[in-house]
Amino acid sequence: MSESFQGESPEAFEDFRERWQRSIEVGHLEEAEEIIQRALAWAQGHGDLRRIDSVVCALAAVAIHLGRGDGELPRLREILLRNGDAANCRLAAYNISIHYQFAHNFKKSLFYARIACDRALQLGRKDWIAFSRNQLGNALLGESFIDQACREYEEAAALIPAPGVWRARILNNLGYCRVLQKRFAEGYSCLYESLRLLRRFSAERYQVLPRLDLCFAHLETGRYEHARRQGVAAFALAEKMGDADATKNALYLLGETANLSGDTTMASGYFTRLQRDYFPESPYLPGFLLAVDVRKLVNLHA
Amino acid sequence: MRKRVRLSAVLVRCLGILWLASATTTAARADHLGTALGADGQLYTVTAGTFGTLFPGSSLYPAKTPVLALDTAVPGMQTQRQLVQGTGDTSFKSSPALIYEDGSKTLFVVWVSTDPSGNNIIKLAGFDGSQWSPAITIISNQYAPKTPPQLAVTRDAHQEVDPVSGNPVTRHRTVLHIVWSEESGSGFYQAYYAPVIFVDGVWIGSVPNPQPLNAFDAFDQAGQTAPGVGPGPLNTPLAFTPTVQAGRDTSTVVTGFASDTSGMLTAVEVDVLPEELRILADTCSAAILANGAQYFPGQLPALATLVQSVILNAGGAFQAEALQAIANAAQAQILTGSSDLATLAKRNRATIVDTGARFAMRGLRIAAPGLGPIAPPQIVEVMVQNSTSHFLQFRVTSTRPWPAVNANGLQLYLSRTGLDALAAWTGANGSAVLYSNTQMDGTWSSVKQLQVSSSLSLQQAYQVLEHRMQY
Repeated sequence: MSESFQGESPEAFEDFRERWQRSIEVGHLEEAEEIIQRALAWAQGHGDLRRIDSVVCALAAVAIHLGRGDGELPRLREILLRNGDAANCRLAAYNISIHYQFAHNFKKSLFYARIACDRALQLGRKDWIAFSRNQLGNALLGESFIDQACREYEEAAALIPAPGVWRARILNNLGYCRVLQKRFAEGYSCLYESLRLLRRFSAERYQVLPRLDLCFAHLETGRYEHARRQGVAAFALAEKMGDADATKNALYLLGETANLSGDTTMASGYFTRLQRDYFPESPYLPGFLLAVDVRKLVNLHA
Repeated sequence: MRKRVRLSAVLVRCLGILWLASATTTAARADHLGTALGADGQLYTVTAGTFGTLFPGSSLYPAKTPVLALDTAVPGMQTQRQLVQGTGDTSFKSSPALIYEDGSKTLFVVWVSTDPSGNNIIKLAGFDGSQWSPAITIISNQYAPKTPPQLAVTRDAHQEVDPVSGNPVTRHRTVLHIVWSEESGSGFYQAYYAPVIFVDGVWIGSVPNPQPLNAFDAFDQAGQTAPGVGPGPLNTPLAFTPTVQAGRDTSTVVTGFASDTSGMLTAVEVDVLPEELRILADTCSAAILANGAQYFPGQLPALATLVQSVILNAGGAFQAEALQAIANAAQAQILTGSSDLATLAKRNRATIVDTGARFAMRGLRIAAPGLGPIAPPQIVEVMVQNSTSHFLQFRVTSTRPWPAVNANGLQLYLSRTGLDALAAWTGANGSAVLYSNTQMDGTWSSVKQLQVSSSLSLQQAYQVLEHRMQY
């Protein structure tokens, strides 16, 4: 018997689920993927369609987060259209919404997040409602509907009061919105709490975003040395994680920090690196960013 | 609240990085717009950069000030560099383009100016060889990022009586046609057109509100995708590359643009209507106001006869048959009456311009079989304070679903009539220019390619395709 078929009882499957969810929560996606593959083998071996769908959704979630979610959409849509198990439908809609969020198609992301939210409300599971509301907030934030996004994040945070990675991620989103709303005290409070929780739970992958947001918040409030420290930390972490979008944002924020501090040489250095690494055919980019402050156009969560 | 987008999108929108990123070819296009030949053989080149880099050793402005420099090269002489006037402020200048107007021997520089807050405006300055004109600003939505402006020039001349001496004088009119795309509230890019008009080399003093070209796409205006295009939202790089080119004569240009709402690529001819038509309309209107009171409202047939007489006397510049048609339309309009004499004169003026405009394109109807609904022609009056107006006619010449294209070095070329179009882009490794052109039945051809070789550079390949469309 292969390892995948270890344990005949449904508890064995639930054990897999618990383990993959824990891995996903702390951002160990590759590890999670391995566990999910074993769970899939278990579910297929037992011909359990409901659990197969559940595993397909989990695999898709990991693939989407790892940037290879295109192939997963048809499978997720099929689960949604089959309209069988409500929990799986919620999960499918939720993951499709995340896929469109990553593809920067926020209108479609919003559409599927609403479906996920409706299903979660039907099922009455607080944590699922919270995840779906957080996702609704992400889609709304992507469309720059800051006030509406805030309301969703507030609801989500209220549903997950216990300290944990999920609460940290929701507070991160809420904190960024507060900064955009110029409610800096609340913004700082949320962002620092988010960062503390993420460090406590060793969720390194998710620390990049609150650090970028803190860098931005300090820039907005004129605390350039604080901004620089957070920016440097975010940059190092983003590079370590291979997160190109976050690296771009970090280089931009560090350049802007230096520029606003009056250190044009340092600013030019960061902007030149941004141009060299990501926009190699646009040599005028550093000059543009030295002259034009695009902060109010940028959405770090889009 | 202004929509916030991710950093890459901000930079793409602000700088057109998407189009410049991989584009040797776009660079070729940019070079083309960045260079102009003067009447006496001067070669002008415009460059954007920091003051310190472009003018080393000068302390007129801080070294990091973004400016535009104009180089003038004359054979046998050292190239002269000068600052483009009005570019010494702190705003970032991008997408500079040049066009030389032979009639007034003036070089025009157009650029996008982005202030430190990120607001964008299009500016234009003229250089007559010794002096710069003050920069002209084209007012549109300053919050909207803009694509590089495209340029074309038309020229015409007419005779009129000098009000002081009473002698006939010839007036030369130059119109600089500017087309660009900018982000709309919905997030889609929409094409805009603005004319900058000069009479005898002098700017008339105002630029009308930019004309949204998407208004000529019937499906776009209805918020619908065209039949067969598929459900929206759509997305084509052609929406970022509107074009304006010389038209079928020296008074017309053709513009082309794509809509992400409808999925259509539409060509619109802009016809600068002859000044003779405006003069005829104004003369007739003045005659109605001066002499109409004795006939209005009781003797409209007599007023109609008076109007006919004025038109036939003042319309020496027109073919007799065309003039008769204008007179008939004006007479018929008078006979319908009006609430007051001023309104009657105004309507009569509009009727004359409208009727005269129908003789453009040899009086033929617009026919574009099988290409879907066509927005009706529109006449726009460019009004100038304390001076006479200018009339432009916009007319859809073709509209069809846009082709599948690649953004790499994408260029849109139109035929002079605006009936045909060709979209060209650079292949993945830069070894070929790929293109699709419209066929006799109005549909797009399959994708063809011009292979780059030692005897055909990428730039030449684009030029071959551009020349192919000059009919």
